[in-house]
Amino acid sequence: MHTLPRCLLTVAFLFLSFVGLPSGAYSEEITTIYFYNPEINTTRSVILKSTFDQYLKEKGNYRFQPVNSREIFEGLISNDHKATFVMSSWHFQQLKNKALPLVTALRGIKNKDDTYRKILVSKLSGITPEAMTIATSGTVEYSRSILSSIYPNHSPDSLSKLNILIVPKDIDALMAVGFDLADAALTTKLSLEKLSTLYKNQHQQLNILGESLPLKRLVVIHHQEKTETIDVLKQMKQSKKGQQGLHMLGLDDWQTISTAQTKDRRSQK
Amino acid sequence: MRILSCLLSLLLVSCANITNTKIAAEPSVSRILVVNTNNSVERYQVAQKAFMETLKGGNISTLDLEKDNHPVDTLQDVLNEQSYDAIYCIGAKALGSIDYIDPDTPVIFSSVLNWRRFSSQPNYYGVASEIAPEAQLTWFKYFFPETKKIGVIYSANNQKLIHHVINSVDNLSMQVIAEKINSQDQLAIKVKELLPKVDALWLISDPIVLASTSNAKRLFESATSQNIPIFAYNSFFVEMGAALSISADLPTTGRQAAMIVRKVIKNTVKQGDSVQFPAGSNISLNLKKVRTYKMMLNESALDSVNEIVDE
Repeated sequence: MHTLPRCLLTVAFLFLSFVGLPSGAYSEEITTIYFYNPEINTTRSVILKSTFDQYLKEKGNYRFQPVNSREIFEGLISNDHKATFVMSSWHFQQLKNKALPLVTALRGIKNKDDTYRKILVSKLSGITPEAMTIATSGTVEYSRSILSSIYPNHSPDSLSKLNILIVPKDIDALMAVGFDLADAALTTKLSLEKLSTLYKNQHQQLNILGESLPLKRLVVIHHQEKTETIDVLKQMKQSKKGQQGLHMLGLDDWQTISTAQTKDRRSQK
Repeated sequence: MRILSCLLSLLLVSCANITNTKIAAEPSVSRILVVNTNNSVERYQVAQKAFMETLKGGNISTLDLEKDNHPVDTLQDVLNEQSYDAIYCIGAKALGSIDYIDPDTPVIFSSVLNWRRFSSQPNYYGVASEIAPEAQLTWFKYFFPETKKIGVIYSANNQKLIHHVINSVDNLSMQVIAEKINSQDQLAIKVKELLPKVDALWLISDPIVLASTSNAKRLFESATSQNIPIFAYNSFFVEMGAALSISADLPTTGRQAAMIVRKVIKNTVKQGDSVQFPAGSNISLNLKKVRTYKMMLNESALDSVNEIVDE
């Protein structure tokens, strides 16, 4: 039952998010999987935690802990060497400068694809981003970064002045455009396809103004060469509760990133 | 006498729970007053927080009417003391008090159930309290693609809304079967007539249909007895037994209000855009009901759910 513990979960979530204690501080035996994703809105943290914890409790002493602050999450990555981290690949790329000894173990996939593209859609055409209110489900920083890849000729200064309306979900962003609550939506092709299957007229009215480069899906990282937590995550597709957790993250499975692949990619960078 | 009056006015304003987030502002920076019905109520607090974050760095004063038994007097004193470029009212007490004063300043509102009363009032702008009806139906179809016939009971208050929905629902390949009631007495008989014709019952915010808790309970009992799931506009109904609810995401509502304030100050609000529907949704799903009614759930839709009830 989720209704009664919702308050408790919220309090626990906020407490853990702000205090940010390492997993070892609660119990030596519990392994924490921390989650932070600037690509999605944080209002779903409570349900993510409860869905993942339901799956994880069947697997042993694990817990899932969404974090709603980038600073706290990065602090945990630096300090909690026993934990596992599920994070945005975009965010992970930005941590490369910190030279942390991290192992990338898994990458999320959806429809057998580990990448996706963000698109900017609008009912209008030939409109510049400065003149628009753009609905997006990501953070302002992430959305500006994606828009800069869609509009490479626009200066960071001009993109910093954009009117960005943060909404909880990709489909909210699309519907905001459909119902004239925003001029454009920063969304994914998949969400646009979903809307087209639902609402014929809305899709017909929307133009794709621009498209980002392919973006990698969520990545799972940890400090040491350990496999237990990674195995637990890899098995998610095999159970109903695990599948629910994957769907909550917009994924349908994890794929293994071999150490060799990781090293190759790092050397390419 | 004038000095005494000024002193008294200053005293009254200082007694009111007014807070300035940026005191020394440039003259060109717009002054905004946020009037909150009760900042200790989470839904009002969340809207205010999101509003303030969106307009971070602005010259914003806040006024909490929680323990104020004379809100009109307090507001009048605050407005006499300083002029504002826009007033954001959160909740009915805040909006009702401002409406009584009827200032020349543009008023922006949110979290007000009877928002329709203000939708055509000049100088009033805001965010409605429910998700757009078409958007609600779109979400219903997303979660339950096989649910095609949706029944709804409404009164004259929602005549226009239902007329609009029936005309636009073809785009969703759904059918809305609507039954109008003129008084609460007709509710039981209309429900009995409607339920055998539909796959699900859609609850809308209607002052006659949901005039009392007992009306709502009877509606749920009737639907349950005929294995008809209920879709609702507020998560409260999921705890009563609705299968799905689509309600407004409160932080988004606050952010939208902030964007309306910006447009109002720049005088760029489009004609007919005085009240917007909420752009963000908060979705509650009752998995127990989904199983009970053997509904076909689109599993991919789970990435949009905010709360699952499953006991």
